[in-house]
Amino acid sequence: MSNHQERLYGQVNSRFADHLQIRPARRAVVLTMIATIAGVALAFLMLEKGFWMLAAAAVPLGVSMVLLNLSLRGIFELRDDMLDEYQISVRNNAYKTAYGLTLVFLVVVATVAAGMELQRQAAFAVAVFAFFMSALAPRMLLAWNLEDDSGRQ
Amino acid sequence: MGGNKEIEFYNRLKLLRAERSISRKELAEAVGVHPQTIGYIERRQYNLSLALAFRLAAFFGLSLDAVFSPEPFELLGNDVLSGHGVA
Repeated sequence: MSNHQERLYGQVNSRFADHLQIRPARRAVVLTMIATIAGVALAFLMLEKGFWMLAAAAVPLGVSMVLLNLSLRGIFELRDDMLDEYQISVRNNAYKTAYGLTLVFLVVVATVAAGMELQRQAAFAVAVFAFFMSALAPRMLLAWNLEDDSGRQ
Repeated sequence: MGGNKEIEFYNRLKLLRAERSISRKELAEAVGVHPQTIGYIERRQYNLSLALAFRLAAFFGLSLDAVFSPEPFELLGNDVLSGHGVA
């Protein structure tokens, strides 16, 4: 087990992470994630005002990523041998479900964007939004849907 | 293709843990899973693998069918009563 993976395992199973692993918290993290992705896309749209906007948008995106991973006990980050069969099963199901949804989402975005005859910068912003949404779809989908672990003891 | 419908398994894990005062964490560590996973199995929200089912049964020193069943288990009270010829 590498040091990085050990550290990550400790973090995702910490007391702090416990608070993020209830459904309302996970859903709040997903909504925050979508908002920050939209923020990054917006920053690309206004790139001519300076690169600092991009940097400012990247920080909340990074924080949201960390929170999202903590809320899912790092099951998308940890190696298989550090997960149990339930965690691997829900992760694989999330990839499978997200794959279909992502394809539909990308087709819709591409169709709408093509019909709008966007300028280069706007098209780039839409592409950035679509990229992050697609890349993070399995995580967001699982964080949104995962059953709560009621009756902890 | 038909015939692939998942069977839901009933289990006595919670009862066995309570009987022996074993926490979910202790059981999880003994069989190599996360404590949350024990909770999902107990509440029948996850159909575990055969390998894990054997590990759990072995931990309690019981046969597989004493811990897991495709049919609901008899209530413990019924078992006790019939065992004493009362029912």
